[in-house]
Amino acid sequence: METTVISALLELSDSTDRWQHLQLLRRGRLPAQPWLEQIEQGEICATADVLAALLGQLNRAGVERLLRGPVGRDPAALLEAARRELPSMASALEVQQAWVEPLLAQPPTAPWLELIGLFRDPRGAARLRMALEAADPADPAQANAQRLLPLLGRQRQPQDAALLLELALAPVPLAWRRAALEGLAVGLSAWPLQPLADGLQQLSLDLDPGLAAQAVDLLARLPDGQRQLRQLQGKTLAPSVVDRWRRRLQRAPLVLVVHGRQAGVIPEVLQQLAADLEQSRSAPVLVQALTATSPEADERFWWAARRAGAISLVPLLLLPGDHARSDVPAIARHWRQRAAAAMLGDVVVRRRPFLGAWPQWQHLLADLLAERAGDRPLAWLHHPLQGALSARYLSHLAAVLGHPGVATAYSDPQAALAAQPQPPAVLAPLTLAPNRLSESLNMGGCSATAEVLPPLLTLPTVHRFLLAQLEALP
Amino acid sequence: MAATLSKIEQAKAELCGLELAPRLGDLAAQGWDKLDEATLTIRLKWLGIFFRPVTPGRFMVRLRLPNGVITANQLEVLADAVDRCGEHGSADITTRQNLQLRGLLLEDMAPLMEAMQAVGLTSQQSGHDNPRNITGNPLAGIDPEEIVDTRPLVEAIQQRLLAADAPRNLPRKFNIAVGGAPDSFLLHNDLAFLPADHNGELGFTVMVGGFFSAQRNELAIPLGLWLRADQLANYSLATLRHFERCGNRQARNKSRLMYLVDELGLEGYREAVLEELVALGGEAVPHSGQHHVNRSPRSGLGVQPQKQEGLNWVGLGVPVGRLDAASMAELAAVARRHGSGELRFTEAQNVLIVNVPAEGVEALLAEPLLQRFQPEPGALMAEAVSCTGNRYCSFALIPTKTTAQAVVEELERRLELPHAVRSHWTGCPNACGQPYMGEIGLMGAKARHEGQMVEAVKIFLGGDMGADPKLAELHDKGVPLVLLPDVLEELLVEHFGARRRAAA
Ligand code: SF4
Repeated sequence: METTVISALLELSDSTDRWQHLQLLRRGRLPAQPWLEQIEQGEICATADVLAALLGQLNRAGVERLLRGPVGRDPAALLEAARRELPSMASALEVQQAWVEPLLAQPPTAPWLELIGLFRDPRGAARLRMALEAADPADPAQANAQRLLPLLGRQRQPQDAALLLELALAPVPLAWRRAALEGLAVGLSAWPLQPLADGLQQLSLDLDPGLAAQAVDLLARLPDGQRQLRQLQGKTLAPSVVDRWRRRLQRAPLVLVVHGRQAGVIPEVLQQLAADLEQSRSAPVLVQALTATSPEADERFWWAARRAGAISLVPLLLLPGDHARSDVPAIARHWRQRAAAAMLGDVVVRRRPFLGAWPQWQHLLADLLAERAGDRPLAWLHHPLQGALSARYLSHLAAVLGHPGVATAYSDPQAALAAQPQPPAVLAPLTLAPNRLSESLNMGGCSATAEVLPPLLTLPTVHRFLLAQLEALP
Repeated sequence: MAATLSKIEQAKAELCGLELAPRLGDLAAQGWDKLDEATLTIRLKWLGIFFRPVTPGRFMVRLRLPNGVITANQLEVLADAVDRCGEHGSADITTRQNLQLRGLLLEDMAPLMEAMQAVGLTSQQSGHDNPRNITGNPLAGIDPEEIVDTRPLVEAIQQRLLAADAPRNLPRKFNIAVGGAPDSFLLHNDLAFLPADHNGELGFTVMVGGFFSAQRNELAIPLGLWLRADQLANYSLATLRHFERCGNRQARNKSRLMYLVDELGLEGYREAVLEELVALGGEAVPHSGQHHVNRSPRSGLGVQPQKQEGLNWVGLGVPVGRLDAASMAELAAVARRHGSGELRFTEAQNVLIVNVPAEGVEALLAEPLLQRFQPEPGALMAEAVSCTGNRYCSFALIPTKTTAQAVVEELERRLELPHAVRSHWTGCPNACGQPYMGEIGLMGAKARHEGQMVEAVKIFLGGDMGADPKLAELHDKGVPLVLLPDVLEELLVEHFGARRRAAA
């Protein structure tokens, strides 16, 4: 009686009824036995949808019976059904007890290997391993075996990392390499760390950007992933992979401390630098004027800080004046307090030396001034500084730059210049962005007698330099 | 008694999935294959983590985005998570104004949950037998036709329902929505609050029992209660507490709220929930069920003036709601560049960029991203809604999203339409793509064609979300996919005023 109903329903032209009927079977609300008999007797066709509904409802005897019949002779539909259904039930004890032994009793050929590979079982893993070791990826007839690679990964047997890595790196067809890498991905936390990291680093340099990109993503997921990623710095990565690598580096948000203009207004060139940096670092960048209150940090800023475990404070100041010596430490203290108030756990505030102290900066400045001055006398202008430390810095800078510095009041540079024994032909105000000094030089008639260099950050070389240096900060 | 519990009920009763949150890192280290079936396929969904049998090892995370609101900062965090998955990563805008991310490894979960928390996002209880993402007017707060801003109400309901003392073991999933405009069609929800007056005061009338499934489809009906806005959260909690206690746990296909309403009778059900509400200190008054929702939903696409002088929203069509990491990051950047950094998702699986000053509209329209997500997509693409389909869902009978996109594109090449036509595509009778709400509904099926069993669709016609709502009815029980463009072309010409374009 029951069996008649089944065939009748399965023959229904309305596929919704068939679908619903199969859902009932799948949920154990119809007995599996009659279906098995019908399949055995060839009365219903064991299509993938029927088998998918039946898979989880059979005991071991039922599975053995199924495999003795037409399904065992041609397991294609079973494989299709198992690919869709088994993964979510393969960890259920009853399903394992029903299927593993009967599958192990089958020959170690392609469809059966894939079926046993859907279960996590050391004997199954051993079969997959043997089959893969013996496979020849160069033989197109064996292309199907590549499907076993992700399954081997899912077995999570540490010894298999070597095989998966070897295949991912080998000069074999791309599909094999990708499958091996996916095997590494789905078992990621099971593999011995060092060989895995080494292999992934190597793969990150691969000529295939797809493989390299996935390798970079996997490196980033390792426990010391950030260190591993940083080791790729300077290596030759494909352009699309470089972008990905940058995105994976968890860069600390930056706070650039600068001289603001009146009322704390940030000059345009500095804002532009911050915007460019934010893009290239894929991390928030704030600009803080020395004389203004700290800018608001949004949730994205704190998230990046927490992820990187740090905030970097970079004083874009060119001289070791009071600002660099006392205001910057106060600003750093302030950010520490804010980080503590935001309850960010272990976020540290890293304070970088002021820009004027960076040797690379001094050399860049020297090259730049040499190029602009040629044989003409040049003077670089700065506001007056007090104390022995500042005096030492100024004389060191004059030595590096090969030109004298002139201390001058910002509002009246003429007076200081007039006192010079030899009138300079080129004047270089030591400022990144337009300020009172650069403006009064241009307005006060100096430009009639000497060439006045523009604020440094408006020069493309300087913008590029700062972008590159700041981008490279962790 | 325990012996009679189904496998699912047993799993839920033994351990609440929320308890797994602090152990996510360990579970990942252990490997997902080691997880027991109940944890893998049931409990993790309490954290919004979905095992996908079709892509074993690559998980899905479903967010909660109350009222479909998301900020650029939040979207960027999610884009980053999807980006880490390379070619395996993608995201879908869902029919509940929500987002789900695909392709993630179990190792990604602990850091992702932490990153989400840092920007105020959660995926808590977004799947299985839980109150799902709560929807509201996608134009809330900016809508010139707004009756009431649904955002704070939706937010309050979510907070109440996710609190530690709220139910965590419902008999079945539960959909809640709040209406705030004349086009807030929400009758497909188990519980919908529609703006309504009582003695000249604006509040909400309660509608209950809407749902679609393989067995039964219902639009919500008036319960005959009216609530002040500040009562919605309490009322939702009262409903869930009652549902948790009294809902059907024996048969999952008879456990949605409407079955409970049937069982107790409308009046009996109302009394029971009222009792629960009063116990929570809440109040409700009898009501006729008359409300202010009287027309079908606007698409919200294109440039449209907000109620705030000088500001606009720009609605972009996202073909079948599918996003990738790059487009998510770009959407975030565009919203930040041209708007206030806020975005909204609609039930039609599209996205709105809000608070765009009039003078910034032109620059926004010139963004390269808008070649892909168009402000004025074709009349069919604009409102083509689709479920996941067989790329990721093992119930599916057809590849829904790719079919929908290909067929719609083909039809737009062939036809000109005088107005948008809403098509709802769903991969199987479970009806996640809400085929009964479409002017045209399409449901995955199998049919015989030239002697072979082939992929096909059933066609439903006549779904109406206007003043006189109606579910679509079966029109054709099996059109093979190969014939579908021709059959739909005919239908659109005959019933929807489409004109054939002159042959190129
Ligand atoms: S309707 Fe069917 S195919 Fe589509 S998502 Fe729901 S269960 Fe999957």
